[in-house]
Amino acid sequence: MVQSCIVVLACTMLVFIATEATPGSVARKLLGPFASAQQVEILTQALGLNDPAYVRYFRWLGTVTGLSSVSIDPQATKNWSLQSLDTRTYFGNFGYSTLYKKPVNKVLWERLANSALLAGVALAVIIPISIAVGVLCGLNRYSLLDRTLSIVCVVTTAIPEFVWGILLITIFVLKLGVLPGTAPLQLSGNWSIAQQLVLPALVLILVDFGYIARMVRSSVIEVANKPYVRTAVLKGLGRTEIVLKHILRNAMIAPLTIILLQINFLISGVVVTEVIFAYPGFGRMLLEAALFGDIAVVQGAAIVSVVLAISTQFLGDIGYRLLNPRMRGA
Amino acid sequence: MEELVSTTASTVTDRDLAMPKAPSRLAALLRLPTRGLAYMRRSGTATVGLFLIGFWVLVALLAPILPIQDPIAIDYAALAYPYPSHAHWLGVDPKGRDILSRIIWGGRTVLGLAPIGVVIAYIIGCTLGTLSAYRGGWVDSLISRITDIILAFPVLVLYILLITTVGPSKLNIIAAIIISIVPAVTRLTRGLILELKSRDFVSAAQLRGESSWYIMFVELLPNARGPIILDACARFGWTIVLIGILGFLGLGLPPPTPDWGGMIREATNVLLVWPHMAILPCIALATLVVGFNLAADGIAEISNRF
Repeated sequence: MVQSCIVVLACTMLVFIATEATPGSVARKLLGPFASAQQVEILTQALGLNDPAYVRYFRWLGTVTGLSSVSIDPQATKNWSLQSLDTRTYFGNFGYSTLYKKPVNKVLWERLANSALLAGVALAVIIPISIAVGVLCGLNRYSLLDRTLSIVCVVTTAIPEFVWGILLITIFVLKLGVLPGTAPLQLSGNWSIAQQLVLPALVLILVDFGYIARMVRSSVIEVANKPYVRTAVLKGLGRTEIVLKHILRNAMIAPLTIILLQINFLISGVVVTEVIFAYPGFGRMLLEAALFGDIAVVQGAAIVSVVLAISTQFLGDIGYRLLNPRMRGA
Repeated sequence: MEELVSTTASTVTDRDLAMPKAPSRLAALLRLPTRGLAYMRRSGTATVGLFLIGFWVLVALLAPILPIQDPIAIDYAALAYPYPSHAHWLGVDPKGRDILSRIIWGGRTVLGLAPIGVVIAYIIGCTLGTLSAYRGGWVDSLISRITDIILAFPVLVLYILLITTVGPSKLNIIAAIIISIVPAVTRLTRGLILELKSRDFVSAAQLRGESSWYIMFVELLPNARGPIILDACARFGWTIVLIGILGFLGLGLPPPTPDWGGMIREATNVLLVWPHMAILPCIALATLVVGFNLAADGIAEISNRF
């Protein structure tokens, strides 16, 4: 736990260095390319952006964690209104986004919710399919069915997201015309939101299910070779009982932690799918902000994704311990 | 003590006696590619994978001498009929450039960048992992903590941060590949070496008074090669996807360099009008990546059989 916190802290430092300690004026980056030189000058004065980087890092960390209020030099801002600053003090104050014209915090939550929706839809299909395929392959090792499904899994996982996206759009949008090719999550044209979600979710399912299915397969094979399974067979137990009670219960432990890690990937790692379908998700926001130079959003998004990654890892560890009786004491 | 010295001496003589065998070692080294091929042919998946990789490597190597058009020559007149024709066998892209030629030269770009990045990353990663596991102590803590920090970033977030900070260029893309692969390799190698460290041959080497560098890189690392090679093969395919993704997101090589990801990006704007412009480079990329994954899968299958 303490270690995770230290890692997060080190990551905030890296993110800060990558965004603020690089060439170019921070005020210019915050205000965007269309601000006048005078505005840049005023903001630099007001926020003390000429201070050394380490001073600014701790000030920024204070603002983000809500421990200290945003310090603004009142002298510099006497005759100016500062619309583009979020001056309230709260946990997670990453400032104001010049790209989206909203506080970064608000943008982050909106986008995270959208991404979680897509990830939820995809996972709801991925988990049952991949477990079914994995168990089927694992129990019929080296059969024709196993070989065929294993190759299907390798191929679907190997083909990148954008290739799937383009192939699916060509088939379903261009040739058949039954689904929309974009998913802006707004009611546009005749397509409902559910219809818009089908293709992006399908891409994620195709890319991800093979990986989990292979994990389940190897886990089932490993457990099926354990001595206690042989004992159960020799004891004369029925096949159904052995498979359900002895093999599956133990073979699900390792894949469950992998599935937890996939949640993290499906929320912050699917930039490409979101770009293809113009889906207003978390990853696309990070890309847009990075290309636009909106460092407030980049900082927020990078740190949120690190926290997300570390907490799913942490949950995975806890889940592993809970499910595996041998690990409970450790 | 007397005995110990004599044993050491006899070891040395044994090694001296083994010296004349050196030529046969060279012969074995020369036979390695053929033996490797014979090894791979034991698995159908590996053979198919190897065939796909071999095809693209061959095409990429022959690119300068194949009778194809200039990949960056613009022929606006061809846009009147951009589909496959006599003049352009696979049609032209939205800017009127020959798709066949761009796919072939794009393969050259990808197959040039990926191996450099992956090989350098594995050299660094294996060295750090071995050092970390064998030395232990503060070296291990330091290396492990840095690995943890880099691995905490989702890969694409790391890429977007890196490339938007330093700007896209060949060198920066290779650097980004290295930075993202090194921590994973370090972790893998560290785990493998930790397991090997307590074996008898390591104590034997320590007793002979070998230097720790010799033990690390001559005794330990070669014994961990199996899983490392397997991992490298899968990661090759993954790196090619990553270069493609960078190109697709507009963070790849600056135009007009032929690059599959970039070609797909330019063609997606006209996907609803001329779908073949995006689908052809997609097929090229997919076959190469699937090739690497099938090869990795086949090797794993063969090595599990024994």
